[in-house]
Amino acid sequence: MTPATELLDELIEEIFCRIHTADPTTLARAALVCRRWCRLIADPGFRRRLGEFHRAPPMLGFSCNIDFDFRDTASFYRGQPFTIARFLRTSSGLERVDSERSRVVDTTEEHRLHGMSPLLGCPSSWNAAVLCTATGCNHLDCHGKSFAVVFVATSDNSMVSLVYSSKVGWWSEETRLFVQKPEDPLVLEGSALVGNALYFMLRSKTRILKYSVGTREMHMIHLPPADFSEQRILLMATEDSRLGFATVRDFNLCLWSRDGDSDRGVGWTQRRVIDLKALLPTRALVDPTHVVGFAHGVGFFFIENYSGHFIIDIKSNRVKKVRPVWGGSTIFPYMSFHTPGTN
Amino acid sequence: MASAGSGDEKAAAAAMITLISSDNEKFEVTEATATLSQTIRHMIEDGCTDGGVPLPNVTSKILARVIEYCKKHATAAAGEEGSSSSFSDAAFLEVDRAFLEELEEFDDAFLEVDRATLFDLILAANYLDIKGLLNLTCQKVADSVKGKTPEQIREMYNIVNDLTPEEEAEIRRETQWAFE
Repeated sequence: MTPATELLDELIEEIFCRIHTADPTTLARAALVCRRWCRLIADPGFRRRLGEFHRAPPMLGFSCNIDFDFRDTASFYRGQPFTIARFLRTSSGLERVDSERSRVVDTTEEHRLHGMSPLLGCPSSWNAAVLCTATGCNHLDCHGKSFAVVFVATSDNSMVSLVYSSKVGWWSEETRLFVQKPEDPLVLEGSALVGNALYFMLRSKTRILKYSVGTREMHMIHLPPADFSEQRILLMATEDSRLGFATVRDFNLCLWSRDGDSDRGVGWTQRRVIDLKALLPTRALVDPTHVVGFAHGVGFFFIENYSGHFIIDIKSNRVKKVRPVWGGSTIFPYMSFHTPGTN
Repeated sequence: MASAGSGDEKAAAAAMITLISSDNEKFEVTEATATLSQTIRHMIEDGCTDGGVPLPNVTSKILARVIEYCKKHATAAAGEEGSSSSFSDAAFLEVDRAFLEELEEFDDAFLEVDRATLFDLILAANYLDIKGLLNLTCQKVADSVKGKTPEQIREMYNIVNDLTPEEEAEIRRETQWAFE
């Protein structure tokens, strides 16, 4: 008889790879089976292989940005430590603003981004995004590689951006974009990376701040000329690498995308409408219902209302109810592994 | 024998390969069946299959099962090649679908083996480099651990837990989300 322990590491990995991406909890549990399995699952080589096998990292879970005070701009005070967590812990109370693959900008723990506060003072609104800057990285598993943090903030009559580079260990010079409506603050929600540009949502829900990663220039672009004021807008990159957004209107999950690089609200197309009435249980059809998260690559949308959170898999039209959380939360799925001994 | 037959029969006979298991049992298979194994395909290409192909890592019991798989799937591969020209023929596609369903049923039945045999099949599929069989067998094991607790997985596969209680607590803490 060939016991499981006699299979080569390579073959155990073959098996682990076939544990479906929709149920990554199995892999996390498998890490508890024995030391060897834990080592294999934690191994960067395996994670790379897993990513290549499925062509998208698995969604392992998500974190919520719960704002108990119902403020939708985050507080950022002089001298407050601003840090990056390379992985998520499940402890609550952390404020997460972005999760680019494995990394999460976090207002507590881990690597401090030294020296930010003197550069920026106390902005009235801000947002940030983490980018992998490793050359030749396929971004299926960016653990432990070089990264940049793009930080944008409102300041008087302008938008200010700063970039932190992990290679340099310091911030870039700031760039500015003067704006006519400085009262339109940034919303602390997920940004979208499309091609070589980052997009950040503004409170008015009429405009989006575009940040070009290469040139560090900023521009304002317009949303379609419809009233989205009562809806949550979730920016995303579409599968064909365009800027898109998702929103819920009348229990329809509407997916929009932008054609080309035109600016004044023209060029937006509603590409797909998913009828939530056909997917959600009747008792979950309560107003207001919002889209609060999106897992890139796997096509999972997070829908939220008073009855709880639901994950909608738009590829298979399956729905899963997740823990009931409420509080104006934004959900950031995390798509990479952390196992002890790998950080 | 082949020498007495027609040209076609000669070609068919020439395309037979002898596989020899670790316990010295000989299996005559067609080249189409044998070449589902990349390992054997390379040996044929290198012209070193005269006098049979010794497979010292595969027992006769397992080799018989592997050949059973390859025979069925070699037919499927031949069918696929034939079907490409008549892709628009709905009737043909209907037949094709029936065949694919039959193939799935075959695979399901093929996997009805004990765990030891399943692992031996994985080892053989890896050694012989038969992608489809490796995928099938590994997927079977992956499916078997789905939704199971670490304790259940250890029990299923006779694995000794060599994690210290501290290590276990640490991993459990880090992967808490998987247990909620």
